[in-house]
Amino acid sequence: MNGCDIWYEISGKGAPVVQIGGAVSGHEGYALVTPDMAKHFAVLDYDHRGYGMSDRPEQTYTMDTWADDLKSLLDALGIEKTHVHGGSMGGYIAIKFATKYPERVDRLIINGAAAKSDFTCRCQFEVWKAVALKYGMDSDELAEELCTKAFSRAWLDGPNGGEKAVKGMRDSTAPNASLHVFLEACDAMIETDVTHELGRVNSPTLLMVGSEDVLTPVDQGPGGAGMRYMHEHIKGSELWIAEGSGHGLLVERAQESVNKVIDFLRAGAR
Amino acid sequence: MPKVAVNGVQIFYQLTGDGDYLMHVPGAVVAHEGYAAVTPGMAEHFKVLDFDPRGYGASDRPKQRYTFDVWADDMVGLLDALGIERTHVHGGSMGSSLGAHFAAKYPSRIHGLVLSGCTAKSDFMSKLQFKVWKYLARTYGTGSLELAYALCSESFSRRFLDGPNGGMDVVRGLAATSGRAVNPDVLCDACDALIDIDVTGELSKITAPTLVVVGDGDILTPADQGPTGAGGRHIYEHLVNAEFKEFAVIENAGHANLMDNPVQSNRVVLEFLKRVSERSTSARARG
Repeated sequence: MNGCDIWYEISGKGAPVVQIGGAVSGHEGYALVTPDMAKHFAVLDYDHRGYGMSDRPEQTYTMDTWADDLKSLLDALGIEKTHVHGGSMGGYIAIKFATKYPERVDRLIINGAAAKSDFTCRCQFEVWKAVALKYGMDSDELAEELCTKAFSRAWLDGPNGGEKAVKGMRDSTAPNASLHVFLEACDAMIETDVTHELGRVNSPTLLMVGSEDVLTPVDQGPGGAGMRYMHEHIKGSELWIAEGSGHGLLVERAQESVNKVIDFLRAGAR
Repeated sequence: MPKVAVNGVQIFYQLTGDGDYLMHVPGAVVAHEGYAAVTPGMAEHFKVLDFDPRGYGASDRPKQRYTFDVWADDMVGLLDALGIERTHVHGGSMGSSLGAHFAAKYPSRIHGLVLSGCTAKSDFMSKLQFKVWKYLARTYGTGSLELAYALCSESFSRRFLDGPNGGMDVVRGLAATSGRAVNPDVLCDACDALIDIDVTGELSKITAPTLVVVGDGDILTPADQGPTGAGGRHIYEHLVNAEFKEFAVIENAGHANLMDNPVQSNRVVLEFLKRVSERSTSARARG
């Protein structure tokens, strides 16, 4: 794929749904979701360039790199049009893809992302870079920092939170992301700006976000463009706020989220 | 630069204005400079006592273990040295956790108490946040942009950071201030003190009129910590022996509510302390 081997897997039958992974975990971020999704759809999981089992060339990575790869992947698999679900950085990629290749998108789901990062977001990604550089991708230190942005306080204090959550974060980060690519991913999220292209999105769009998301909240500061901004600038879009959830909707509210995703995507088939 | 010997170390202090005493207790990062924007206005009504806790700013920084007990004992030593029997106490951020600890340990020394952005017990999220501060302070230093990025993104509201007083200027400014105010050893002890803090069992010892203040967008010391922690709302609800108590939510404000919304933040503190002063004046007149 554009000079790079991309790992992918298709589960289930039906209308295609491609799931785009985030900045740390590649396709594993959808592990809790794919089995339910595959009962209704042909789910295309893949590791975007630089992640998981795909090649990890040391190059510059931007949202365009990943959006172009996705287009090529769909071309290679003969998929003309697909539902697209992107979470976290996968959401940043999905919104880039939907503005660049709108004709390839059936229905669009953006889950915890931004069209443009505000200054707070930029600071947060700078901290990720700083911790990753000194402590490494497989460190508890980075996993701890990521947990403060990925989850709500209530969830972190719950039965699946605490050290278990830190270990889970480390175990999904260490094998799936390498330092060079992660630093590039942070810069890509700092720099991307699709605010002026949102009008090109012509698919029914669902915007999903936790009310306690401190990384990609409902409202970014005035210098950014968050979930509500996208809702206001993508015609006919739906903004779905999960009360009490943090950024990691697919972990904190796995069942509720997947039900919402399935309902939204199946509504198009009726 | 006035200094006074307290428990064997030189403590920097500064008195401004006239009236009932008002002691400003600084947070973990910026020492007395955190109140620079507040002191002039408060000095029109009170005799404001600003100071640098042991380990911070212009005070001595002995190599030792720093705990809330060390700092609370220094606070009472400073009041003794200056001949101050009783004072209003306004603590922000770590200064509020220290203020709560001090008020429980030395209740007779407190006139009115303001706890702003306060944690009585850290939940798992807070523990992780303070651990990350330690990692950044140890590897990059207390004057680094890396630490300042973390402090800024957790302390200020998104609106403030995107506004005319935000951006890289505030990051660089905070890095410069924290680099001056504290070294990594002391900051790491302060973070450990915050990670381990638990004054939930001591809140009933606080007898002074108390105002609990929190920004509506505070993600560092929110009104509600997770179930294993205790934030501002818990504190307010458990001040069962306070002479009276109030709870104020500052709008459009993060943890640094004094910076995010100085107008409302200063007003609620000033009005509360004036009420406390007036009540005790009229009580004395009646007595």
